[in-house]
Amino acid sequence: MRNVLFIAIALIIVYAVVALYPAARQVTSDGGGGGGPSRLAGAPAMSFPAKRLDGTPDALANYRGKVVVLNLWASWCPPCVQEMPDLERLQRAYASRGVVVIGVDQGESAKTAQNFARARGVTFRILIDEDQRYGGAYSAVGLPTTMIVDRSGHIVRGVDGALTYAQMQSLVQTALKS
Amino acid sequence: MAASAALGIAAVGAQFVFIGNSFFHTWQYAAMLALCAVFALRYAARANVFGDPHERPALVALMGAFLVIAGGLTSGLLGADTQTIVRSPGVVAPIPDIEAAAFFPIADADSIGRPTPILIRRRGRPELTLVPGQARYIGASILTSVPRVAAYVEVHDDRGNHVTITQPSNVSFLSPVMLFMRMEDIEGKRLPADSFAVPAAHRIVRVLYFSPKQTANFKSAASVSGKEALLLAMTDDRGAVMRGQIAVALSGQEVKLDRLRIRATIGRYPALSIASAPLPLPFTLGTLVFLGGLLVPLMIIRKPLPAVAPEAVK
Repeated sequence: MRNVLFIAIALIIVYAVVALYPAARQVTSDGGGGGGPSRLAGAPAMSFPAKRLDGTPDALANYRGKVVVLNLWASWCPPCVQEMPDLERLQRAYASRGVVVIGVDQGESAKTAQNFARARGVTFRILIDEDQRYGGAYSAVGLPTTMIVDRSGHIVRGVDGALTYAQMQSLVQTALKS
Repeated sequence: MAASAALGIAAVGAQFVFIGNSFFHTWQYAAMLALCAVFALRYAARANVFGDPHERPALVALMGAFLVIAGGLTSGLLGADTQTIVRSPGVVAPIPDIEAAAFFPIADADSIGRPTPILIRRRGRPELTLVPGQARYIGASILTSVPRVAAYVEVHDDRGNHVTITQPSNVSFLSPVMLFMRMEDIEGKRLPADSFAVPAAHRIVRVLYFSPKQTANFKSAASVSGKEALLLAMTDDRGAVMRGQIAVALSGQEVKLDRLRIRATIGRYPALSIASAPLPLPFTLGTLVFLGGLLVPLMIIRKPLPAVAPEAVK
């Protein structure tokens, strides 16, 4: 009987100590800010539904079998604007080799993107991502962010910041060889 | 002996009840388990459990208890500290400790109010779905999906165009979902806080979350009383507060600050909690062996003696 009483009291004490112990020492991790899009190399490229400028539904997954240069941009972002002519040039130069340049507008209306594309003479495919799903999922730490996706749908490289034309060419060559 | 061993088993069992409590990783907890084991051994030695063949069931019980206590000590001392992984919607988070990857669900204004599961994928193993509040074991780790306050934010300019929002101070720069990773102390209240920027308009909006209990005391904003609400305060992109550009909004309610129309839908978004725990199989096995070792002799003792026939007495 004494044993049972001892166990019961001890149990109550143990469970009370644990229940009252502050949970503040738990580690909460928000990703630590390390890596950004560069850490995604080798991972499957995530695809989300989006719309083209004319309202046609589209998604990255529709381009399986091609090398995709996925450029996340917005019209208010000066480096994105600077990069546009080189992306346009890349699309023209490599289209025949199975390379597709896709610009994914982050968070803006189709009208804003359409006006921008018309004014800047952008002819490569633009997708509207008002919910900013691509930007969130690709761990973008700024704009522009460019993902190079190979024919199998895997990320070859993720780059934060604007690229020069030579850098774009080098990345596309690597993806074409993989 | 039985009392010390039972206490040790109960203390290890607490790891399954209070999942992720950091007390299990302290020296005090380890010392308590060690003391239980030492006392059990001491009493066992006094009762000659190791030498007397009649005490074999007690020896078996002791071994069962030691198996459990050893498992509890191992997970407490060697297991990783409990960590809560908070990620933005759509992000895939590698979890090297368990050789898995966590796929955080996509969220939008419609889905943020609903409980959405986190998917856990491991190479060559079936996919695990973690529904909020549910616990799943992977080896010596317990994974739970913990719902946290979140808000999906949409911003339109004065011409009705959707505009980009960014989170420069957070890891997920382009996510429109506020995860309230920070807490701010305001007038003695500790409130979940976050912020987002509208780069096209050169504006920053600070966001504070108020629970229904906190809004119940609001005198100046009776319309939000007893409901979840957000306080939105606008600054310019250098951080200077803009006079009068402050509003309290209910979930899904649109407010106009400066030239921007802001709508935030309050909901819950899952975070992934990973806690170390004893392996369930040795724990169960050890507990059963302990109970068996204790109960079997009692059952034998209480077994009624066979009735003796009257003829046999002659």
